Amino acid sequence: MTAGPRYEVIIGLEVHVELKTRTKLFCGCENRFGAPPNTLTCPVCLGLPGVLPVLNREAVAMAARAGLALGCTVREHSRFDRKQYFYPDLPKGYQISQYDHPLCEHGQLRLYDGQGQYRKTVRIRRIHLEEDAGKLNHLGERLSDATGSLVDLNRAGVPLIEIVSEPDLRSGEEARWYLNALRATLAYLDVSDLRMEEGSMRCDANISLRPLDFTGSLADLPRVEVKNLNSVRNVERAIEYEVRRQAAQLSQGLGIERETRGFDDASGRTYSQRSKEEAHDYRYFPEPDLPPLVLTTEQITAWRDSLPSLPDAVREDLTAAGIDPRTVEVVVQDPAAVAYLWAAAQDYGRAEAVANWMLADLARLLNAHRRSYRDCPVPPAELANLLRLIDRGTLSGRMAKEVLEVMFVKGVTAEAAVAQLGVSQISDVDHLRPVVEAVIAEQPKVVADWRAGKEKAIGFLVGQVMKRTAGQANPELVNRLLREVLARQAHPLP
Amino acid sequence: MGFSEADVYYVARLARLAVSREEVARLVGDLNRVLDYVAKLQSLPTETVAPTFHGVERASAMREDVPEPSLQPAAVVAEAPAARDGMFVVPRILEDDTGREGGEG
Ligand SMILES: [Zn+2]
Repeated sequence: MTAGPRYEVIIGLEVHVELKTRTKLFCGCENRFGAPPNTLTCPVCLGLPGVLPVLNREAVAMAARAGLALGCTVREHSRFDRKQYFYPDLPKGYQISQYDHPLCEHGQLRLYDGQGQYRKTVRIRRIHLEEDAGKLNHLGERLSDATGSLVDLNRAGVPLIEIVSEPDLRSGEEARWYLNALRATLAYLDVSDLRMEEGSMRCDANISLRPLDFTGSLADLPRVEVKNLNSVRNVERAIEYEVRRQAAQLSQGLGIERETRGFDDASGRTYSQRSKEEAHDYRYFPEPDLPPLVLTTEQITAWRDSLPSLPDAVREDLTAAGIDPRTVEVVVQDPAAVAYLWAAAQDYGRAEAVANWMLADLARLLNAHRRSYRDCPVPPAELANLLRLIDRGTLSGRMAKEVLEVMFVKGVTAEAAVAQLGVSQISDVDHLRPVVEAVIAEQPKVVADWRAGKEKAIGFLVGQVMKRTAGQANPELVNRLLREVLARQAHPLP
Repeated sequence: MGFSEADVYYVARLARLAVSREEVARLVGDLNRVLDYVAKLQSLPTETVAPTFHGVERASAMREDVPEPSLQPAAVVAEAPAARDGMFVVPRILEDDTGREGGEG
């Protein structure tokens, strides 16, 4: 690296996203996570002989809308193909997918960094619709001493879209921006749960290094595919590791082998899974059981016209509302957060203050209690009420944090939480003045010190007032009142 | 275009089929006869004909996204050679001996 890189990093991502239809892609079994094994299966998704797949209209609509939101052209004529391979979680011995006539093509996605700066546009090659495989549970403690596997086909036949980018990404960081942008767009469409840990969104990364003197086609570069990355962070880590590994190989004059690798979360390394070329020979051919998928221009136009507000437009609106770009970048990821922010801001008036409270304190509570803005126990109107209590001086910022926590945990209003905690800040002058006068009367020595120029002495007097009000007085107001009363005693009115 | 013994072994391996030497010799002959037959189509002038991808010239029918009952759990594994906890038992899989895409999530 000291001589500077003699290569360029080329990355393309393949992202599989499970669609949240009610039923599977080709049969009426429910598409649901967490049911007892094999209770959501039928002759179609079990791959029994003599059955025929029937396409789920809603899955097509979701896939097409995802394509349109990502700037793709949706084909009026697309087609399903069989991709054959043998694995116990694939009961038919083939996966119904789309090979050379995918539903959507030629899209693009704009990438922004964490500071809200636009960085680049990545082209999307294609989006196709396909069915998911089942799930294997290995017998035995470890895979290495497993004696067999148990097959659960509840997931077999669940609709997936595979989103394939062009090799336009150049670093792990760019891959992160891409995945964030992709996830945000799909979140606004509400077509998937998008949970990488649960497998409803999965990512494979194709990584190669192009020597700067290489003039051939990208397709001729040996490409390493890292499979099944289960978090955005791991996509970034796997890419960074793989770039270092390949660079080291090249610097030692060794070639890069075209292969598939896995990623080990604990060590942060990739490892070889297989390199046999024949393993990639899927013998695709048109699915004879499904006629071509034909959509009308009117249908596609109707889907395009009914797209919701998408992240790029929302980002502009939030920025125009005066919210800090870094804050915008966090909020824009989550459409429920955006809806929450607009609702609270409309009620309260200042979007920026709402956003700050959401990002700092509300986000912490949501994380700690595994909740989201969709089911936030503090409704937007109550956050607005809380902010108004601060403005009126009823609560200090520090007290408001405690009040918010009670509102969140107990699901009560701001006023009820203030009453429960007994933290209301006393900002009532008529209530405080007698206390201030009493303290001054009791502390002639401290008063004398202050009059002699010992400025710090006033702090002691404030402390005495706070003590008598059980800490609920507004300290700034107490300070002001003390000075007023002392000044009046020094220069009594005639 | 000839189909060789190596081709037969390759395709048999992809299809996870064990074939004997005698079977391979017979299959090479059979498969070449099939390919020769299909090759006859090459002699037809098709430059002006749009490719036919499907035997039926109609668009795919679609169903509404409405759940239908699944099978009873006992029925699902009733015919399985081995089952446990409602799941099919299969032999241990060697991860590096699979031709699989995707992987389990
Ligand atoms: Zn089914």
